[in-house]
Amino acid sequence: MGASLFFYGWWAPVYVPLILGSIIFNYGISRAFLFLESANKVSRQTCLAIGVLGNLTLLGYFKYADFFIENLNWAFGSKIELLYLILPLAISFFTFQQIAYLVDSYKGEVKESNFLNYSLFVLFFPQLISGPIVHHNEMMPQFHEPLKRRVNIKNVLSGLLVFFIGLFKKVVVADTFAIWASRGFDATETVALIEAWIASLSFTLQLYFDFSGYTDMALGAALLFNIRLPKNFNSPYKALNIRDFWRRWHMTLSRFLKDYIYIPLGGNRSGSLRTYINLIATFLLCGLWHGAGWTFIFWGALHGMALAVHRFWLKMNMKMHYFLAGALTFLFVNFSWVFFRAEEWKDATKILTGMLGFNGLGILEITPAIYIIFFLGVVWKTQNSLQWAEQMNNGSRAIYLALFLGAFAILQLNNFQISNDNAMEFLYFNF
Amino acid sequence: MKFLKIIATVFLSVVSFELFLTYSPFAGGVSPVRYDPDVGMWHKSNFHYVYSKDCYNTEYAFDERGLIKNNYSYNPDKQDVIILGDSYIEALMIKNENIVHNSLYREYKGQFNFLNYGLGGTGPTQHLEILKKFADIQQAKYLIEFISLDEGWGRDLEEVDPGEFGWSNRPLVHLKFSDLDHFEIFKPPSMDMKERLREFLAHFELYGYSKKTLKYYKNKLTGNGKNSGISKIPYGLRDWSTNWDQIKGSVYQINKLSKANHIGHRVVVFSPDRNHNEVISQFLEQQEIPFVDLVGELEKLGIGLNSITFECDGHWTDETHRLFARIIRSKFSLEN
Repeated sequence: MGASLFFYGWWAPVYVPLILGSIIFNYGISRAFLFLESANKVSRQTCLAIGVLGNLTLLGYFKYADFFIENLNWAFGSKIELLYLILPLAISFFTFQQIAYLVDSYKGEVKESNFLNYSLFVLFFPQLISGPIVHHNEMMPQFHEPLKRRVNIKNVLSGLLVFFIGLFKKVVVADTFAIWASRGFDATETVALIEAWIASLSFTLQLYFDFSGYTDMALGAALLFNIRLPKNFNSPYKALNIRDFWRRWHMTLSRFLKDYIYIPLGGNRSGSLRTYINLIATFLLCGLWHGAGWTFIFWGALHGMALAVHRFWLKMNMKMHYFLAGALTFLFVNFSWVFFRAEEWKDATKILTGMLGFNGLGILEITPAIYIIFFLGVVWKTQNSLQWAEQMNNGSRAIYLALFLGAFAILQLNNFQISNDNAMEFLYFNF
Repeated sequence: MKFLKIIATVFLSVVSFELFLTYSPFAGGVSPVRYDPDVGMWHKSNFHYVYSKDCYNTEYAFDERGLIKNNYSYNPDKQDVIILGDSYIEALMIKNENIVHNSLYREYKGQFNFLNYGLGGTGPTQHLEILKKFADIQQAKYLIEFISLDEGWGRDLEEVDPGEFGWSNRPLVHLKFSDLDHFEIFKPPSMDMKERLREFLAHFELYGYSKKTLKYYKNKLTGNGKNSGISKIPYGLRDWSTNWDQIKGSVYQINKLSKANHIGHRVVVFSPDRNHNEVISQFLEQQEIPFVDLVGELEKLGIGLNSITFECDGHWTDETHRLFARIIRSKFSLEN
């Protein structure tokens, strides 16, 4: 736990008391549930409401205060000064994880009496920063298991392989695409058709390799300690529809949204129209969770609507050829990522008008085009990194592959260092 | 056996990384120059590569003589205009069509063949040797010499440890003037085993990468800054007398050689330091060499120095090259 705190504090020690405060608060609420076990439901509900509200207030203050003020100023012409708060690292993740814990405690599904155990559940460093968002009952039994406390060479090898695959995905693949994405999104006033597609596809690939790279590193690091974190990605760009996509992309967030927002809103239990509304509302919140901006909210709304359309499609019992379905899903996801990446509306419209051909054809740059084609092939046609690692099954091939990828990734990390050109932060550190 | 396999895996990883650097936006560049016994280095013949930094990613090319490629067809029936200069003129970072010699070709409506002999890291001292060794003086009608007196000037004259030189820099020829007419030539060190090895290694991206890595960690350990290879004396306190001797001597000698071959010598000065500009201007006036002061011309146009260079390095942009070609056209009427 100390190591995890050190890991967290390395970024900004000033936020260590914040995360500790949040842990103490949530632990206190969960203890209150135990004391109120025999009390009436209203007291327990009040207690839960205080807990959830406390978490959301913390998140709201740091993440959404300026967004709220900006919109207030815009709507009423007021001139309230912005707070310019720095978003504490991982706040969205540890807040959601603890809300889930409180709800599970309220339902009586989990009980944690030991403060240190609870702290470890929140702070465990591999998943602290950007998930996966874990449940108490999938972590604590593992921490308690005596066998897990011994060094397991098989897990160490597996962990190193998965970790280096993740590092390679991040510093070699994602950070390369980041350059081409930034060139289109940030560097120019207008972009032509080819450049716009290169920028949007580069970001689509960057985001996947960045976030899944982080997740692989988290899973690999946890495996060194014999801890298995839940999978967070399962080849999402192979999805054949938007629901399939959300079952494969950021799987633990999807699980959270389903269990703690969509189902409590009523899920699909109150008729079609209400189901569609619930889906859209859930994904509006999903967009807002990703970032305090209208482009994120719009991105969430697009996905919510797409899920509603898909549900309607199923209800009508309509069919589509799987190739067309896959292509349409990917194109939609790629299109929607434009809003996710754009810092302002005008950046999104710039890329979209380019993608639709309103700014001419442009010039094809060979290198990014080859990279895009190659890595689209990788994400569509090959196994994902976890399947790959499982197949290697700790044989000697795994050692050599880990060595190859590790050496390559470290050389590239050093390249960032010596060029005074820092590698991009993980994208999900911003959320 | 296992040990060998491990070595082979790491080797494969390094080779793959070389390929990745070559074909990615992280290409730092392989050496565009080869050893030359008289100047110290010269562009490789028929060479092309990509020059990448945060703010540009440009393909550059040299012709069979190692000159910056023309984007027009050379016409042997026309006379040549020789252009001498440093990395501002070599301009690996901008589109070939905009580099000053190609821009001048357009400005002068194809009246002459404008040939770019620019070489990074050089000053007038080396320009004289480049002129003598590489230029076809008989075919030339004019010579335009660019003299840059920015903060990096005089670097070519310093005794820099060759170990500090990167992939595009090597020890250069030096001239020591006793007066304007008399000088001694200090040739660059001969090509020893170390230099041969460097010549070979500099074909690879990993060479520049390794040099940068060593320099970075050495500086980290010793606490030196980025410019440890350059003079440690602050710019304002430096004694420029040796530099002036060599610059004036070289310009004088270039002018002498030009006159002897009936070539019109013109000088283009770029000196943000106005005191240095004053010194060189007075000298050029004394020698009756026509010249243009680019910074002065920019001031007249109300253009700030910050707007003429790239954000990620201090070299002139495409637009600046085109602008300077227009300024030169307006100042020098080159007659056939």
